[in-house]
Amino acid sequence: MEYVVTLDLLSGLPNPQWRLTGVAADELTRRLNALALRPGARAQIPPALGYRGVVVNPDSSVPTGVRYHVYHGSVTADGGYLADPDRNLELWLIDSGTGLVPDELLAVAKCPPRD
Amino acid sequence: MALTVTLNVFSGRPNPVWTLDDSDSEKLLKLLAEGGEPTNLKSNAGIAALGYRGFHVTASEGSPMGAMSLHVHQGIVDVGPSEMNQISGKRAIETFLLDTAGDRIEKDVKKHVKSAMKVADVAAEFKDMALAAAAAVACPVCKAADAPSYNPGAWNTPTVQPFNNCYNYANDHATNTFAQPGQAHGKKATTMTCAPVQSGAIADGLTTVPNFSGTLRRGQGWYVALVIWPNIDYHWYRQDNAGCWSHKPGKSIARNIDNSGARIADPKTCNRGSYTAFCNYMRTNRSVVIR
Repeated sequence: MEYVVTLDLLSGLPNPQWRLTGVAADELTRRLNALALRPGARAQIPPALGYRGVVVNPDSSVPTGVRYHVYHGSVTADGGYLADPDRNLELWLIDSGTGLVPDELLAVAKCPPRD
Repeated sequence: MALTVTLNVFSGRPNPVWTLDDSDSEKLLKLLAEGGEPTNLKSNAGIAALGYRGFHVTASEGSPMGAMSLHVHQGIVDVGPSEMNQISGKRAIETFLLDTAGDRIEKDVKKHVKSAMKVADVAAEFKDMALAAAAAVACPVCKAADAPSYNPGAWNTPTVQPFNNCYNYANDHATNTFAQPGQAHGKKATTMTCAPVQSGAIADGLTTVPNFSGTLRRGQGWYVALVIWPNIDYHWYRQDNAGCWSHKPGKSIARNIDNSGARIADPKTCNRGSYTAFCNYMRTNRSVVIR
């Protein structure tokens, strides 16, 4: 299993995107499988402009793969919600772009949510 | 155009899955294109819920409209994990999708879905609140005769939305190329500050203007505005013929609200998140060439 990770935060320019393969992909699979359900929860909605979350798409060779949207502690997958306590998965995903995406963008994505 | 529908209703059994024929696919795309009110709401189905949890509609990447994956439940069309959702009034889309199942699902299942649809309607519950927030801003008068109307449905479709950005939207021209200022004329900006992005737009045919209060007669175009997330990105707004402004952030949906959920009377003063630098108002028109 491989994944394509997209940092959703730009408007005019294309969003940064990278692939996770091998050990990193296995680790992501483990983390996704470990997410706990949040029945009846409502996900936090990202703003129009600025950081809007991390989108994880399974490799296109997996037709039934679920697409995940990870944003500020909640994970949306096929209309259902999972919990990402302390943004563990989200921060791990953002860190996986280190060296591939400008540090400034990663830092913006890591900023804690404003309540 | 093979659109596949999954009714999320079972737990142990596989959910019913069927393919829409061309006629029903077109009807569904038309319903989606009509574009409901944008909403910050998500349905609260949750994959742990038992019973009716909505419809999942998919199309493969190789289909004519490209890859598509949306979830409809509780009157809310979840058009993408990172997108603003849309309200499907009176659950029109869910009702339509249920009808397309025909004999593929048992009568009792159909009855259960119909019954569930009568109960919880998140959209209706919160719609008044959303409308109240939207109504709080007074739109200025639009002085541009050519200004486009706010018609998000034309942009928020699977064949258009992912391939067009804020610059396409501001110029009201879906090139499906994720257009970049100046790219059509070899003047694409390489640094994200006002001057180079504005120069690219000028090369495409846009002109700077001091404000959006001057009258623009037929053929003279309409007003747009350029803002910058310093050194990171740029963004465009356009003034619609109703006077307020709208925009399309990247691949996400076209919308007429800012980062606070308020209507946009002036992009210079609205909540723009990280796009803190307001560059200029500009004028565009139908003869501008973008790519």
